[in-house]
Amino acid sequence: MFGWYRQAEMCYAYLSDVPSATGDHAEANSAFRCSKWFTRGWTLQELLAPLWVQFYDVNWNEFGTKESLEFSIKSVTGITYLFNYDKASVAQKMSWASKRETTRPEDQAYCLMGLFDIHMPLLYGEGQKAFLRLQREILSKTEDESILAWGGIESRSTDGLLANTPALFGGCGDVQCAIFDAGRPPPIMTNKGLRLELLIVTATKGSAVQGLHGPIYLAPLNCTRSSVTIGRSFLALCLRSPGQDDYERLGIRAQEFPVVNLAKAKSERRTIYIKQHHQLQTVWFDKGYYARKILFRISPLRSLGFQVSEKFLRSAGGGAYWDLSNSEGPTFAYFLLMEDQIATAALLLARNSTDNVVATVAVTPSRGRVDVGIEKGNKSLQESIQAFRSVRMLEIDRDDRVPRHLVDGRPLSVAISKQIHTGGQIYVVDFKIGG
Amino acid sequence: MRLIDTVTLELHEFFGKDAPLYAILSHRWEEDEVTFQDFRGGRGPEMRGWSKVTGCCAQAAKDGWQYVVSLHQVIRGSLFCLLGLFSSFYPLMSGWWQMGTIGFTSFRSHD
Repeated sequence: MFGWYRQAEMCYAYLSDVPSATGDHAEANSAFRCSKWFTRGWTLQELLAPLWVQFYDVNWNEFGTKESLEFSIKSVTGITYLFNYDKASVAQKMSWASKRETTRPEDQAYCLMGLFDIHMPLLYGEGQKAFLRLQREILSKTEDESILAWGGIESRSTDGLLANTPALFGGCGDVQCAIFDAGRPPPIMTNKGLRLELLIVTATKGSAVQGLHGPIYLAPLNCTRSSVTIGRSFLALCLRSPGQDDYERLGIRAQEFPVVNLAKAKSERRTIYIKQHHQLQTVWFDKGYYARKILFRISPLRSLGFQVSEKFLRSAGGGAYWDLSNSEGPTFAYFLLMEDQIATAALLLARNSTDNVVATVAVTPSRGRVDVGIEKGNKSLQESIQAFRSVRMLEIDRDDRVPRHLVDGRPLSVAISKQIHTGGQIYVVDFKIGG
Repeated sequence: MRLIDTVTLELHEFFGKDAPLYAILSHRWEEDEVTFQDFRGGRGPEMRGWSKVTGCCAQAAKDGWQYVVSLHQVIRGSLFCLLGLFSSFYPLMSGWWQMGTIGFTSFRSHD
């Protein structure tokens, strides 16, 4: 498809919702600028691939060309490289597609293949996975790391290494390639996740960022935002490490980093693996609240004979306490002010002294994660939490429940979600026994 | 590749490097578009999408192009079958692809 458009001598763009060729097409609310032709996925390559494009109204009257309407087209589409799309970064190209729609979800990916010079089989039925597949193909072909620069630290429902949809590149119109560490080896997809060799620094903003899930790391990418002009500012991956060389992507941040020389970079690069899916379930909180309550609704476990035997709290920066007034279970109450601050609460629920369930929640002002572990034997909560940090890389779908099995084999799962409760909204960690 | 003669509105098939210069249409998929089967079966002129075919051809003829890429030559109902076939033959066909001589010129039925 892309090839036919590339090789065509002329492309006629027929805009059936432009009623007349006359009038000022550059005007903000003109039929041309509001045309649905600009909202569809496939028409992106039909605009970019041909050398010549002429625009026609519903009655086949010409009203301009790609050149004569350049200003309007650029402003409607956000495309800065209208005549040389191949000069744009991966993230920029994705941003052009970020607001476009396709009838079938797979086409969101397939309609971009030509723009990235990717050839891959079309497998209708694979759904959103098509976009992940496209990105993996792009990764295997280019050194452009801007493909990892989607979203922001504040962006929502964005867990994972690669973006689930082009929409997450919406803010990437100005992301460009830049040299931070030029000589690093290319990323390789493995069964442990994407293998990268990066220079990693611990995030220093705020004092203690240690939570249950460890510190936040920053790994500068070879890209920057053209809107960021101070010094040598780069876009960095925000990462956390559930254990050893395994990392999870938390978001992206623009920050200034000192120049690295080649020898230093070579000796200090670390090999890490980033999985597509996080192992823990994440909830995004409503913005604008600094104080929050999270109820551990443990009644299903109580009915099996489990009792709370230990409680654990830690808050880096803000404050936290246990509110025991709710009969359904203990409530974790806390406040945090900075995104780098993390508060953690954990409960040890025991039965027969050998069967322990450890439920933990770690929160920042914008999001919370929940995990549950099953411990055999008579471990303390501290010991269990330590064990927690290095275990279980389960592949679970985002927003799914975290699945485990009790010692007696019964399935136990946990999830955190917002619920409307007596007296307003509350976040609830709920336990489910059985399938 | 199948091209429509912009004057006679007849389909012509070209192979390899014999393919002539052509113009192409970019549009949104709307209701009652003319498919390849409609075109071949002579049902095109009764369809709402026919004006796109004739409009495009008339404009191309005026501009001096003898051919346009024929539109949407895929039956909507069997699109999935065709795509399945296309996928499985993909490695074999990728050579063709680069030369622009695919037997059907549009495998998208939606935008």
